[in-house]
Amino acid sequence: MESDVIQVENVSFAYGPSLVLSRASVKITQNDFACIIGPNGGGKTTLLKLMLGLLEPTEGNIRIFGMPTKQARNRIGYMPQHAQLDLQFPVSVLDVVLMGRLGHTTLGPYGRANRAKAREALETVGLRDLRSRPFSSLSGGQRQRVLIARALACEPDLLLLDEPTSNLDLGSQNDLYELLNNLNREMTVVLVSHDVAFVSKFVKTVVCVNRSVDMHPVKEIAGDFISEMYGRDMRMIMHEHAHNSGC
Amino acid sequence: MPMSDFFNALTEHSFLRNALLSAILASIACGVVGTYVVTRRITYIAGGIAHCVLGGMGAALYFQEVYGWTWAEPILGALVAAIIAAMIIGLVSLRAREREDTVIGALWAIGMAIGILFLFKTPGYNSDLMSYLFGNFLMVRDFDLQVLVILDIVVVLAGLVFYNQFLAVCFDDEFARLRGLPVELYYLALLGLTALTVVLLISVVGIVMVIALLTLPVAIAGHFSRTLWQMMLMASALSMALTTGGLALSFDSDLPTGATTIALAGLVYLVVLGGRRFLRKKPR
Repeated sequence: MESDVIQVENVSFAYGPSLVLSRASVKITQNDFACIIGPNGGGKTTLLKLMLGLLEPTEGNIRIFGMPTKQARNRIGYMPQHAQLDLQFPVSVLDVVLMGRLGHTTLGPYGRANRAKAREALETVGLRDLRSRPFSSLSGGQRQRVLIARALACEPDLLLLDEPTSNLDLGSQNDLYELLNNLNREMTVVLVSHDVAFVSKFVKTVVCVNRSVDMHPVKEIAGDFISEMYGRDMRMIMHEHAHNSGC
Repeated sequence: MPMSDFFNALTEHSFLRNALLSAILASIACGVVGTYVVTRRITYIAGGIAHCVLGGMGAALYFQEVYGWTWAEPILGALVAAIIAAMIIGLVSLRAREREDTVIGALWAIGMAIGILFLFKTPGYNSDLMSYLFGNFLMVRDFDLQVLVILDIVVVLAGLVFYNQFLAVCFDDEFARLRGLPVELYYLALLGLTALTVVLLISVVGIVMVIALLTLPVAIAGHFSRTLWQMMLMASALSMALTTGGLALSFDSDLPTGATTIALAGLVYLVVLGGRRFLRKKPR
């Protein structure tokens, strides 16, 4: 079925003896805006890496766009946690974004068409003017946007983002969600967030991961106190399965 | 004037011209591959490869002297040993569950041990051991120079043709893998290029000081460059200046070339570090 973008069926995964995911099932449909939440060590990033085919499930089956994960990779734009990257690395903003065109080049220089695509992606995230700057000289929020631009340069149908809002102040977080919401018109968006209780109002589906997986509806925040504290763009998640500790 | 002495000597002595040529050839490869080594943080691997080279050189010399295999040139032995060491270290770091630094340390020492054993059994080993360890510019003969030219062409071509791929693999290998790059192959290729570069550099400064020449020019260039290719260009130019300067200085004052070159490189690095710190504080 083409409308099922992500299909995770009864997937378990273990690092050696320790079980990280147990019989997880997730279904994400086309043009969904899904947020994967859960406590640290609960298996969020593992679930993302399984979807990318960077890890193989110990048990169960994953299909992306109806295909095995590795074959679907060229339709996925992936944004890793930027803290993983070496910030001393001498690389310009445009160079980073051009890496998204790697699947479309052979050897030697990237060529004019690929450069145009990379600039376009930078334009989309609003950083066109910074393209010659060293990646290391940018602020955290700008770096996240560059990495999103790199994912967009892949011309994806599915955008997977690992903690795109970590270490951002609330203003930048809201800007980022606005950007993702715009992108969501053209592609399916799935992001991992460390925040267990609140997600952006743009999020349509919440996937709750803590060894097992539950999918939750999203509800408006009622109290003025909470909305002042987290901003009016946030929504609270109704945890229907309260017996699942921590999530 | 000491410098003019050196340039006069260049026109007179072919061994000095060979030494200078090998230094310049090595510098080009050093800038390109050294930049990858430093940014990917595999200096320790380069050190391991360099020391394994002694095993290959010792074995080649032994077979040449004792069995009369004239084709077994030490530089070819060095090449074979460097490539084997690079592939072993690469496969271990990609596949095995062994601790990587332990394996590198073990290979480092085993390679040297094999080299010393072979050299011990070779008549007249003593002077050769010192030359291999600490460099000896009298060692560079025309045959070595031809090998060095070929190595240089291979290293520089590969380093430049696959620039985008190496950049992506060094910066974020996970993303590169998702873009369909055979990341492990590129990693092994990078180690292979490192091995070739190490062989190039050994003729200039000797085994023990290879890592310094591979990293110091790049480290200095890192303070002035924003992109990888700027770093490569600047590191190559710096390396040429440092090796030429080291050769001239050591020739004029009758000092060992390798040690003089590395001391010079270290001095420039410290001055740059100090200068940067000084300049950064000044505006306040």
